[in-house]
Amino acid sequence: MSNRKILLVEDNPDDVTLTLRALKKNNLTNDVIVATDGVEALDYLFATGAHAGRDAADTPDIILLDLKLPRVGGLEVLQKIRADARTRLLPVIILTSSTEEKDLIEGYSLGANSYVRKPVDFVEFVEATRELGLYWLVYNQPPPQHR
Amino acid sequence: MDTVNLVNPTDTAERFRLLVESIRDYAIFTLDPEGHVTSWNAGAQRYKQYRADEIIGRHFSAFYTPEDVASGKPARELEVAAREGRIEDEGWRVRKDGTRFWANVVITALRENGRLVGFAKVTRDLTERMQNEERLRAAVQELDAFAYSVSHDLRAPLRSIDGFSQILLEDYGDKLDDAGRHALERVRAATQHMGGLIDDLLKLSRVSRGELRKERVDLSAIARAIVKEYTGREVAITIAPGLVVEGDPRLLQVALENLLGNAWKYTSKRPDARIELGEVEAAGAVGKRERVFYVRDNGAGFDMRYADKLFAAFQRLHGANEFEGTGVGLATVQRILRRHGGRIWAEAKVGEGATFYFTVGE
Repeated sequence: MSNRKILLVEDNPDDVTLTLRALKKNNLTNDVIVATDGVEALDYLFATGAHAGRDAADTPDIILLDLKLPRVGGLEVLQKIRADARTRLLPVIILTSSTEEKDLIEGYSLGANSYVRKPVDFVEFVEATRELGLYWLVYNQPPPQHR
Repeated sequence: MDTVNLVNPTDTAERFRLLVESIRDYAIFTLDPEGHVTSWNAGAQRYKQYRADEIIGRHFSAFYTPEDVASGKPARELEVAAREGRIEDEGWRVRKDGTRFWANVVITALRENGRLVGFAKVTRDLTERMQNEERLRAAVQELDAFAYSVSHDLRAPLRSIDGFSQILLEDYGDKLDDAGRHALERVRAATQHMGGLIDDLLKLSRVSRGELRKERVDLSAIARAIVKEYTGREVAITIAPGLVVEGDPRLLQVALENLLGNAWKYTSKRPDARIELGEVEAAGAVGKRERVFYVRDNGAGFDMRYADKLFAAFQRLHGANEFEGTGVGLATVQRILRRHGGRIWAEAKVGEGATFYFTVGE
């Protein structure tokens, strides 16, 4: 799982710390980019704003996306990812506290590949991260342009 | 405007006319076959603001909104009333000054010897009821938003408390003595319990929201699927076949999960545990009888003196050290059954078990 790149879109600094720790415990920390809101995530993906000059073709292997984000929300980020040819096929995993039916339906309708609710129990969360990493970065065959 | 009439007390038609004329809570007036106003009462003047001399002879489409007039609704309503005898409608109507009110309208065709001679129209002002419904809808929406933020915002800090406690245990555990580590474990256990409370509260609020579906639901089949998941203990589970009702399959599944789950939980200390789902036999009553189902166990039971607390949210009859739980399950079951028009009640004896009886409405 060495040179795999993960984009973590998460505004809560505690959740960032805990997610990074969970990833690290599962040896998935090689390249994690943290975006703390939707605007930053989109800037990173499309090499605009603070990330102007970055190679937009260098896309992450998976995106872990929180839904409730400042400025531009997670669902809107997902919509923009799916609307752009460069990022259309990127695996997006929604990682959120919400199990509201409407979030699930909207998330999947907008083309999320997976929807995971962050458990309260951190030990469970570490385990969920391990399985997610294993599945999406090892077993799953990514779309061709990301090989 | 009114002239004093000397009425022959035997002239019932005239007395009836005077009676109608004086009614203020309903607009009651008549139309000719083409829809021109031919009579007008006090209620009509009150709601629609026209005096009798201003409106008699005018077409009744004046009471409809421009949109309704454009779509031909007034003429359509007369057609239906003429064809079927009567039409009832609810919608916006317009007063003389152009303001709108929410009206319930009944138009009845008037016939003499089979020939259409006009229409009687009764209108009620339901604006206030409509506004109350609007307020209720707004309140429900607010509640939805609240439940949503509970699910998201209250869980986030819990994850932090649990996560950082775990970090302390993992990274600094060797610097703590047993009491210190135990304290952190207690923090984590309490955090996870609160997570469970929030989840159950959300489930409780969810069963009250959304549309209630009405379809054929096989309670026996649902129960069989539920108990298939119950493993690790020897329990004699009996499920009567063919318990089919009309209702919302998802909600009834949640209800059975809670009832059977409770039976499973409260029999956990019995080696000869028994759980049964069945239907109470008819007591010989003739005609329509209410079907009563039950979930019975021979578990811990409870003291009937506290039976009234059974279905209140967060009320528990057992200590957390005895049996785990949040106290939301039976409140959820009761809400589900009430939404169906049904009921739930219980009989129990400490140490001998409990039986929960329920009905699922029509």
